[in-house]
Amino acid sequence: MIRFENVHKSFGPKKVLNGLSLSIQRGEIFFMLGRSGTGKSVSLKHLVGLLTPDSGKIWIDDTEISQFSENQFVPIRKKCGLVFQLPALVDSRSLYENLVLGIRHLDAVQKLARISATLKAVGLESLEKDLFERFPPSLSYGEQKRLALARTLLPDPEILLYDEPTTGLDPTTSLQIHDLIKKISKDFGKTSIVVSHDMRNALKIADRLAVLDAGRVVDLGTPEEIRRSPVAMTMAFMEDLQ
Amino acid sequence: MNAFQRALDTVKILLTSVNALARGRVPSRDIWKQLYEFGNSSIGIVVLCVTFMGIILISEYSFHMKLVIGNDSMIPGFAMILLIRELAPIVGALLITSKMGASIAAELAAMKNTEQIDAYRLLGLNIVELYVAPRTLASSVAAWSLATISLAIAILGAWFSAVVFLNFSTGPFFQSLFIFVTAGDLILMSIKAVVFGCCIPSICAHYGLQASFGAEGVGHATTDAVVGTSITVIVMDFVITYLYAVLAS
Amino acid sequence: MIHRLEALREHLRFFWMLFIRLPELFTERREFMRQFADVGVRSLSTTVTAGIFTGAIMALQFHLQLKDFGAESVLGGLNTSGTIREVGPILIAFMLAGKVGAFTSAELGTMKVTDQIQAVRCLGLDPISFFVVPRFWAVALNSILLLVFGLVISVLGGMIAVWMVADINPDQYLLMVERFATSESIFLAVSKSVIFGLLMGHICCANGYWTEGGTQGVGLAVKKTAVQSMVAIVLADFFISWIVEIIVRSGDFL
Repeated sequence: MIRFENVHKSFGPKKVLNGLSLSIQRGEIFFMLGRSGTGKSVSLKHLVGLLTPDSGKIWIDDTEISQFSENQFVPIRKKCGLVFQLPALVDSRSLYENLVLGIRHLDAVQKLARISATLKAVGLESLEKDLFERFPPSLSYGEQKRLALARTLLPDPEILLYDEPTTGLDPTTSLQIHDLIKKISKDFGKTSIVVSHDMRNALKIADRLAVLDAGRVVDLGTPEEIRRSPVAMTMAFMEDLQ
Repeated sequence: MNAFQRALDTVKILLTSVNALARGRVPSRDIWKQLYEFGNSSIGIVVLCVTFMGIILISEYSFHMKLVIGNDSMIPGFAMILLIRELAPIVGALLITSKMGASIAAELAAMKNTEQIDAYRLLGLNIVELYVAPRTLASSVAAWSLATISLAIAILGAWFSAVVFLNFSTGPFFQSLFIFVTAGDLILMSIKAVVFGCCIPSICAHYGLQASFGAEGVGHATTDAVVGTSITVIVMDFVITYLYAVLAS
Repeated sequence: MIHRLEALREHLRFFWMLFIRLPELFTERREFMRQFADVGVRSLSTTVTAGIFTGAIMALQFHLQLKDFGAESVLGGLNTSGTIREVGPILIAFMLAGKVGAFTSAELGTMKVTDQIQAVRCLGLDPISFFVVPRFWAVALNSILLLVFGLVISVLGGMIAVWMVADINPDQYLLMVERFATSESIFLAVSKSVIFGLLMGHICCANGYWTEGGTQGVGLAVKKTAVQSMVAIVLADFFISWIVEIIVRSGDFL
């Protein structure tokens, strides 16, 4: 359903993606793990057109997007929503205005209805009454991350991309966020691709995982397979868990 | 923080710096380095701006003198006086503020964010003595040097355009200059330049050290530093000019 | 040298893009109005301060010089002319470049490094339409209006200053202003205000939008905006004065 075929990407002299090949099925929760700088976030950004590959092909369903222009990505971005590592909320606009950025074409009633349902889904019902008065800086970091997730969910994309959703959060909140990812994926039938270095939670909720090193996939499989895997990098991750 | 508290803090920083310099607690290596940074970074731009302004002044005064008095032999002297007393020190100071002042605010804000300032404090080092004091001296010297050098080149530029475009001859040009420009003017310029120069690092340091967290904090600190310093320069310029005007009357 | 020319070309492209997107202000009306109000409120006090002090400084300087000449009676005319034609637009623009320009580039820069610009793109919006075009026009239009306003205030500043120092009658002063402020001078003052406004708007938006490199990048963007604005203003001032002079002189021949 989503397929990377031998994708290469460099930033100047630094080669970040070195022949990445991967395919992800519809409806699954897919984790991409790896040390910092191994190209995980970069590959996500390719799917929404924030980056273009130097070579290789990328498919979303039957559409090959590696050479798409900004305009051509507009429908893709409706299908495929990215939740950034930093909440990336617009600080100078109210919570409401932040949330509706992706759904401006709807009328006010529809907007409010969707917002209500989405806030409930991400566990932020308490904010519903203050949407017009409060601004992002007044929220805690965890709340900001949830709100950013709500914002991405509102246009109802089929595919959700999460860029390091729990980096910098304490273990309890990390667990909550991961459970939320699982709930949203299963309850709403979304495909989720999560980039992370949290192996523990990955093994808990993923359908399949890939381990990246030096810009390519070095290991791939279900949580069971990964646990027993002989691959060096995977074993290094597993050791961190002990 | 209101304006009075800010002013107080700035004066505190300035006095700490001057004290450290006077007691020889600032390594001369640091001072030389900052002198180089301040002078080198801004010289090109300051010379450019002041020279262009000098040329404009000559043609503007030409226009006005003809309007009022009908003869323009005194223009070079008149025009250059404005350059000496006002434009050279102000433009130099404002450019130093934009370049080095902004850097001071940004660097200190970043240091505050990464807790380096606290780290220094625990080691018994005072960031003002370490960072601001050498820059204060460098800024004062640089402001004066920049004003002087850019003035010299601006006079040359004005002479060039007067001779080529406005039908002046060299002799009368410089004569007019020597008649009108007094030592007092040059002293006024020097006082202004040094005063502006020495305040810039302290004001910018104040904003940098008060910065709030994150990219937004650094942005605000830098912006407020540039604005606060620019306004202070203009107001101080007015005060000095006013005192001069009152004394001269 | 080459890469400066390339940078210039990028700037020109960016400016042109912002300029022809003026109609987008109607679609993003609310955002533009909000930006316009924000910028205006923020810069009013700076403009008044800069205007008053610039007018006062120039008036005092001219007073000192004209006194030696015995031509004091024309005080009010010459210095106002000089202020609104040259020194006023430049100094007031310098102040605005700091207050508004630096602030806007810091704002856009922060948005860039915290991924807000990218996030908005992913939600299907054009970040330039949403963030940059409204700001550009808000800054440019505000600057133009405020520069003119500041110049008017500078006349007041000059009047008060010489009244305090040399006891010159305000009515007499204003009479001289009227006599010497030619329509050509006013035209020059206004054209400079327009050009300076557009330049400031462009420089702060371009530097803000192109910010890179985390929190340090934001400080760098502010620095660049402040310096580039000053240089651009001085150069533009030079060229505008020159061109207007040529136009006026050729008018003399006709």
